[in-house]
Amino acid sequence: MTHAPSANAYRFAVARRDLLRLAAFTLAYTLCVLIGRLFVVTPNAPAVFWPATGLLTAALLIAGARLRLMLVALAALVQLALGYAAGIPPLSALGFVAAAALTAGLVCWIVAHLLGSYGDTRTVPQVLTLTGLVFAVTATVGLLGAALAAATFGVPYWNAWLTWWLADSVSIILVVPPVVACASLRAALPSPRVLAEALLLGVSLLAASLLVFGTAGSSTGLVALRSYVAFPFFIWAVVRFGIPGGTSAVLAASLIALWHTSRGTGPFMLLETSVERGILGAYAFCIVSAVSVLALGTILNERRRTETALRAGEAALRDSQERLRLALDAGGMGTWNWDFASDAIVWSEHHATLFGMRFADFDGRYETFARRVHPDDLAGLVERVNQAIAERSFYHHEYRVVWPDGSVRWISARGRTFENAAGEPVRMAGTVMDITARRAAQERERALLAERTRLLERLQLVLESMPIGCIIYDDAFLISFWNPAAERIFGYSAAEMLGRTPAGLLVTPQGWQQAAEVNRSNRAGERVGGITTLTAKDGRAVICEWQRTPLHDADGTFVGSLSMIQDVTARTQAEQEIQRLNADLEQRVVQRTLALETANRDLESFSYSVSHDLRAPLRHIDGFLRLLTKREADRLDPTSGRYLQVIAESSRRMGMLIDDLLHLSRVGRTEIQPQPVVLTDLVRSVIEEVNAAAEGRTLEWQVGPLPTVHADPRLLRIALVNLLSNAAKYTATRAMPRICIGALPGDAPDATFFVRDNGVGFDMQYVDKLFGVFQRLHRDDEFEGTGIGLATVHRIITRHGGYVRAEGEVDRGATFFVTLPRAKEEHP
Amino acid sequence: MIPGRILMAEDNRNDVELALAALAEHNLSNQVVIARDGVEALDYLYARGQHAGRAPGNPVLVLLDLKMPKVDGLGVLRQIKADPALHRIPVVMLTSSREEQDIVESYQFGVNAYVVKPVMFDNFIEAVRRLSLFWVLTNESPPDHGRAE
Repeated sequence: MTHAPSANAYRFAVARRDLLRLAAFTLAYTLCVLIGRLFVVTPNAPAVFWPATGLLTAALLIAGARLRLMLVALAALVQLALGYAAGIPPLSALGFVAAAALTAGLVCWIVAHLLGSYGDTRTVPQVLTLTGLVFAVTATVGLLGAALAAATFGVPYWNAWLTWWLADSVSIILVVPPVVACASLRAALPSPRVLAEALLLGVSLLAASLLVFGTAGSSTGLVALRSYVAFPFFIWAVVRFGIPGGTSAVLAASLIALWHTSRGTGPFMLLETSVERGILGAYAFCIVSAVSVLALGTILNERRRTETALRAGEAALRDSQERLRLALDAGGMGTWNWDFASDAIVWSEHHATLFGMRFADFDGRYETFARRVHPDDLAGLVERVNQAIAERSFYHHEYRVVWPDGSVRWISARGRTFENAAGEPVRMAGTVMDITARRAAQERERALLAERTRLLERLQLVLESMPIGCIIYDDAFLISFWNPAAERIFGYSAAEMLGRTPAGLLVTPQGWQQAAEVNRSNRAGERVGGITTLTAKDGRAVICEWQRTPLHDADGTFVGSLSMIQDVTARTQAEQEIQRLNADLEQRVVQRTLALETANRDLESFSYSVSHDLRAPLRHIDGFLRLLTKREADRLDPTSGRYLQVIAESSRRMGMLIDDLLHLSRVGRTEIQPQPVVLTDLVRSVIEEVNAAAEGRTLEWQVGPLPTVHADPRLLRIALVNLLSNAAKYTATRAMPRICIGALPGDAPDATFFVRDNGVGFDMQYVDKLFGVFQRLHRDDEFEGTGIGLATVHRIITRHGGYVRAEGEVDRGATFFVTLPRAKEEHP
Repeated sequence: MIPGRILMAEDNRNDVELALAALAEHNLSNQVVIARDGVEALDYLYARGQHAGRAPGNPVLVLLDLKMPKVDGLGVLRQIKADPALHRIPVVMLTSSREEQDIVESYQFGVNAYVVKPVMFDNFIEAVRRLSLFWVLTNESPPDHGRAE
């Protein structure tokens, strides 16, 4: 809705601009025709300068195709009107307009084809070519115009043609350039300084021109050279104001020159020369000036364009270099260039940084670069570089550099080879980038992957080599893994079992209920275990101890279960066997204990009988023997008396034997009740007892420090009595009997004490008989004894967990060592 | 003081004879009543059976052998010590047994002394002498309340 008015306004504006142009053209054309009339030198002959043709050509060039016909029509109207006023027949006037339009159209056509639609000259040859073509066109069209003029004005044809030709040519060459150039100017108001300069130029040019061309001609041909005074002004104009300024200046000066010449004055009017001849000189001046200025302007334009383009190119280059540097910096990249001819390397500042060096420290030598490369990587690097040069391929390599501080960095280098026109490699250039972090990350990733692979392999190995059957079920309870141990246990191979359900194979119909329950528990996330009898491939019942663990994926979704199975058939059987044997053993132990208890009771009653019944007869023998002896003492002969004495002695010995045997038996049967026993006290008490029994003998006792032992005091007392009595007995033959009692040093858990005498001693080769029952090393008539005392000692000490040993030498005494556990008090 | 009667329960004839011989040395043999087993000893104490009609009064000392037919020494001891009329009579075990078990049991039933018969006759005589000296001659017997009680 808002478009329509503005579109209409635009159309209206365009139309109004066209109308203004057409009006301006009509005015200008009228002016040009009137000016042209001023240049009619010979009455009823064509004008020597006809600017209307130039204006029409310029207008056709400037205007679009829409306005061209209109312009021609307007030109015709103006010509008709003015011709009518001047008495020129309308047909002739139309003919002149047609010829001018033809000339203008042809020139336009040529310009459009040669320079493009707008006709802006680019090179000097174009200027010259155009000039030549303009001459050709006007000459050709002039053939027609001259005929028309000759017919109209009645002048000689060739004179008319020449005037027509030159006048149109000069008109086009002088008028078209400034009009077209000025029309293409942007309508911006120039600065006061430029305006002032333009004003100064205009005034001085006008003054110079009037001075040069307005004064009378002289007699020499050299006067024509005065016309060159105008050239510095042309150059000023074209240099300062371009082609518009230059051509305008030429147009202005030429108008003055032609005007004065046509009036018969000025430098071109040489002595005795007609106006026709003089005007030719003026033409020459005009054309030379116009072409020179146009050429100069074109050259200046060309240079200005080149300079502008050059400046723009430089700016663009700087810009792109800046952007490249920014990109390199942002990417942490350094650049390098290696020129082969000079073998010089140039680094960017960042390149040096990446190599741990200061920019100033790099001398550009290859060796300096190579020194920084890790020794292990240099050979590979050189190979890649050579390959890239040889194949002209892109170069990409990753290598390590060793910084001066010893740290190692990874560098990624890229580059390419450049060759000269002959195809020989001349240099290499590229970038470097620090990829240490990336390499480290890759390294870590690689290590992680290797570790994972290793673990997986190990896991596989474990699963395949472990003695435990390992089965993995998927979420549909189908077997997805079956290890060799499972093969061994059940006899089915993995190939037979994979993808199948264990139902009907391993699990009996009765066991199916349990399997389903385990599945439910697994799905609930529980681990289940138990012992179940399964069926092997050969129908064997396998007692399995198993555990099923649920498996979940990373999201926690149930994906199946892992079953670990151990064949415990043999173990179960062994356990049953052990249970059976144990029961058997217990039964036997009960029986044996019973038998032992019976035997013990028998032994007890035997001992009882011995103690009671065996002694009675002895007592009777002795008793009655005494009674007999007492009664018959007087009547017995000495031999009978001795017999009775022997009988009495024998019975006494037997009594002793029985007592000692009973003793020994009691020692063996009595329960030991150990407690701490202060050996020193016990020994002292026993010594008293032994002294009392020694019946007047004097014994020397030496008692050293003695330990406190862990023992049954009553039994230990019996042992000590036996040991000390023994010592007392076997020192009986000694004049100075001496008995030492002491302890071996040390604080071992067991304490050892000894009883040493200086008695008759014994032969060490019989030492093993010393502690046997009824074993004696001396005859009865030497030392009285039953051979049971030391056996009793041995039994008592052994029953305490201790031991006793003897050392002796014949006639050098004997030593008995007794080892017993120390009392706990002695061992904190 | 008149020596009291001694009741000696002993099944072995030889032992009886030897004991009497020993007591004779102290002029005590005529005071001794011999019982050949436990039953007879109890008959005497209760004045029944073959001893019915014996002179009244309790013996001043009872010597008991352990092993006897019918009722053994411990059986006799138990009855004596259980009977209020008899339990004050001193009872001495005179036996061959040195067995701890016998000794312990005897004291549990309240025996007054336990004497092991020495094998040697001299020692036996000495033991008997000491016994009789102590229990019969030295020791003051408990007052005899007689069977009338």
